[in-house]
Formats: sequence, structure tokens, C-alpha cells
Amino acid sequence: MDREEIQQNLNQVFQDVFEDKSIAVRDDMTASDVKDWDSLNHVTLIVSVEKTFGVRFTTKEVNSLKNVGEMIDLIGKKKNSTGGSSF
Amino acid sequence: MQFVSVEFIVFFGGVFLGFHLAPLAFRKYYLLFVSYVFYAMWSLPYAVLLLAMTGLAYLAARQIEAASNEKGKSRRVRGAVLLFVLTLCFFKYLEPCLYALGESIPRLQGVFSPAIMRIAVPVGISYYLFKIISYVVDVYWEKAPAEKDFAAFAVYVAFFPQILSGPIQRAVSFLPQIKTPLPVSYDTLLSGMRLLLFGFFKKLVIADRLAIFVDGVYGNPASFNSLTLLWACYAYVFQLYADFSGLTDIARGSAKLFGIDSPKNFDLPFFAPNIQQYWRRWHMTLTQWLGDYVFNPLRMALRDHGQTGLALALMINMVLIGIWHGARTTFLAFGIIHGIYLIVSVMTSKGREIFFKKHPALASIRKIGAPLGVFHLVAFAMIFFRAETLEQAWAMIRNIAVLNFSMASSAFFGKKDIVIVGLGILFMEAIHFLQSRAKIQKIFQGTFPIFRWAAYYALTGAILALGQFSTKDFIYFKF
Repeated sequence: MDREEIQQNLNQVFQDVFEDKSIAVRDDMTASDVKDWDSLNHVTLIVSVEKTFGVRFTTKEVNSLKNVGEMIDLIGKKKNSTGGSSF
Repeated sequence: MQFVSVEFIVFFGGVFLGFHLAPLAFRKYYLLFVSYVFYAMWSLPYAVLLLAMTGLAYLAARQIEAASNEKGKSRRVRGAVLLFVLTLCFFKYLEPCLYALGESIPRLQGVFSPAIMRIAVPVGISYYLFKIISYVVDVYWEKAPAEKDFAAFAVYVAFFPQILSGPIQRAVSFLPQIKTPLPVSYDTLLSGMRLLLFGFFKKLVIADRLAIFVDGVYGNPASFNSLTLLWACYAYVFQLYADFSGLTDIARGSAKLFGIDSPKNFDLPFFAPNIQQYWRRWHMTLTQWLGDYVFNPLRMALRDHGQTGLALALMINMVLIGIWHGARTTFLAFGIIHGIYLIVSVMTSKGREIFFKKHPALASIRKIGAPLGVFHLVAFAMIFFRAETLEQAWAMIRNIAVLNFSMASSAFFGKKDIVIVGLGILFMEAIHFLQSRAKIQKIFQGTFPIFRWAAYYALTGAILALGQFSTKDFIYFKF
């Protein structure tokens, strides 16, 4: 799965989770750019991303993400490898 | 040392003068020195504890960063966080837990050594340990690098305007301000003074005057009629708000006088349209802290359990907020009530949106009704927060519910008090509203200095003429 494909699928996840068809994800996008992207919805988003891409994140990975671009990179990295620690 | 005391004003004035005479490069060490003097004036042994905790956090963060693999990093962060949490529990909960145990099992009463039972809670321990924990975890999460400058880090932990009751600032926002200090501008000084003045107004004119009424009624709920009790419940909400937001203003204003910008703790909480929003606007630095380091990790850990996992994470988070205030059943009840509020609110939020979309005519009612409803939920939960025992809370609720209007209304709160407090609250909320509008603030700053200074003098006059100078401690000092 290349980066562009990940971004397209991720866009769909964002639109579904935040129920907003106008969302277009960008690399520099952060929680403050999306209405309703708060701490409650954050884990809902993560769970949805995990299901869509068949990956599993750790709490540390989720907390280290600075923007959507890093999320795309992390998904790419996970898709191309297996394993990882927990916490 | 109390914030509202001659002692503090003398100390603060001296420290302020010294700070502005000291060369820029020296300011960090100066603030470190005075912060420790401030703390040691209360307790020297606990100043040593503060230094020890700071040193451990400094070393732990560097060790976490230096660990070569994820396993090592994870082990170190867990060890450090466990140590800080155990330290907090030891000082905050051991004595009340042993006391409760002794009360319920008389045989155990003499077992615990009197030395343990006499351990005092170090002032500000939960605030400085929360700062320390957030820093160590942020280094582990790679949100921030481990700090090399020990003096700067030690100022962050011990900074005297924030140590008593917050706000709980994060290291990433504090450290750059202390490491590369800028000359404090006239505007910053003035805005610091404004915050101080407003804080004292809230504390002395509103909170301490309301305290006379609230303390009198809560002290003996059975001797007042239902309406007076109801008023006391509302009054306490505003007392706590004025007291704690006043204290935060004084802390933030003081910090500004030393060139430090600290985060705000309140953002018009009583205008929140739902209970989630309320908690994003009330004691914000604590709820953000718990959100980042408790709720979100819990949510992640429980994410495979769907709505049950969400409900559990919400409940644990709110129970922790409750008992953070102290080991009392009333605080536990306060946490559980808010846990239930949040679970119901989160679970029904989609349904409510759909309902109101279908009934657009109700939108305007919702706009006014929702914050009013939230306010009443908050006021109800605060009965448990204010009451010293569950029995006292029940007595308040029961005596309100029986709608008895035959007994005395409050004799110790006259018409004059009601007018002062009522106008005071209106003024406070108007200022809060203006503070949230950057444009209006600019207009105020752009008006002729003579009007601004007239407003400052009027506020000072109001404090001196209407304030309650009974040296009543701030409510949040004890948490």
C-alpha cells in the first residue's frame, strides 16, 4: 500500500468518524483543524484506523503523533512490518 | 504564608524588586532561590523532599532518553511514574486511610504509630508531582527532549506562584520562557497587575462574602427553610468559582510579573452547553492533565471493549478527579455523580443531535436551556463537594426536597450583601466574557490611559471598601 493509497483510505475514515464529507486530510493537519476531533473522539478515530488498515498502535505511538502526516507514515511503517511493544 | 496577607505582600514586593534589578542571565537562579525560600519558610524538610523529587525526575528523564531500546525506556518510565504516584499517595492518602481503618476496627486504633498519623501533607505536592509526571511521560512519548539545564527544570517544578494551587503548566511551555528570558515589558507587567487586582476582587468581594452565607447554612441545614438551602447551593457554586478562579488569576498575574505566561484554568464554564464541555472549561489544566495521562491511556487500553470500555474510562477518570481533592466519601460521591453525568451525556449525544435536528423550532430553547441544565447538574454535584459528610449532603438535599418554607431564612446575609455579591458576580462574568474576546481586549487597551487607570482605581477602591478581610484561606490550598 503506497502513501497516496493510505491517505485516500484515511480520508474516508476521517469523513466517517467525524461525519463530515468535506474533510480532506493533509499532512500538516492537526486536531485543532477538525471540528469534533477531541480526546473523546481521538480513540474512536484510532480504533477506526486500526480496523481499516489492520494495524495496532501502542499508546506511546498514538501520543507521539504530531499531525496527520506522521499518522500516514506510521500506518505505512506498520503495514510493511509486524510486531511492536505495548504501553 | 497566605496570598492575602501583609507577609506575602512584603515578600512578593521584595522578590519582585530583586528580580527586576537582577541581570537577565541571572534571573533563572534568582527565581530558583526565591521559590525554595518561599517553600522552606513553610517547611524545610519538605523543601528537601521537593528538591529530591525534582532531582529524581531530572535523572529519570535523562535515563529514559538514553535507554537504547523501547523495553528499557518503558521499564524506566513505569518505575519513575510509580515512585511519584506512591509518594503522592503516601502523603495524601495514608493518614486518612489509616484513620478510617482505626475508626471502623477499634482493635487497630493503637496499632498505627502516632508518627505516621501526624504526617502533614506537603503544600502543593499534587501540583508539583503532576508537573513532574507529565514531564517524564512526555519525554518517554518523545513529545519533549529530556532537559539538560537542571536549574531551569528545578524552577519549572518549584516556581512559587504556581506551586500552591497550579495552574499545572507543561514543561514544554514553561522551560523556553525561563531558559531564554526576555525583558518584561510594561504591557506584560500591567496585564499581570490587572489579573492580580481581578483575582483579589473575586476572592475578597465575592467568594469570602458568599462564604459567610454558605458556611452558616451548611453548618446547620436543619434550621433553614428549603428556599434558603437552595440559595446556599447556588451560592456555593459561585463561591468556589470566584475563590478558585481568583486564586488562579493571582497565580497567573504573579507569574506574569516575572515574565512567565501560564495557562488559564477557566473558560466561562457556566456557559457550557453540555457536561463534557463544562469539564473542558473548569479547572482546565487539571482536566487536560488527567485527559492526557489517565483518560486517554485508559481509553486506549480499553478500546476493544466498545462502549463499556468508554464508560469505564470515563468513570475511573471522574472518580480520580473526585478523590484527588481528598480521601473523603463526599469527594468520591462527587466523582461518581460526574462520572454518571458524563457517561449519560456521551452515550446520548448523537441521539440528542438527531432529535434537535428533527425539531429545529427547539433550537433557541436549547441554547438557553442547555447551559442552565448543565449549571444545575453541576450545582447538585457540588452539594457533595461542599458537605463534610454524606449525612450533611443528604440533609441539604432532603430539606430542599420537602419544600418547607416555614422556618427561618438566613439572618446573617442582608440585602446589602445580596446586592454586593449579585453585582460582583455580574461584573466578574462580564469581565470573563470580555477576556475571552481578543478584539474587545484590544479596544480596552487602546482606550485613553486615563479611562483604564480610572477603572483600576475603581476596582481597587471596590476591593478596599467591599472586601471581606477575614484572612480566609483559599479553598484550593488544601487540595
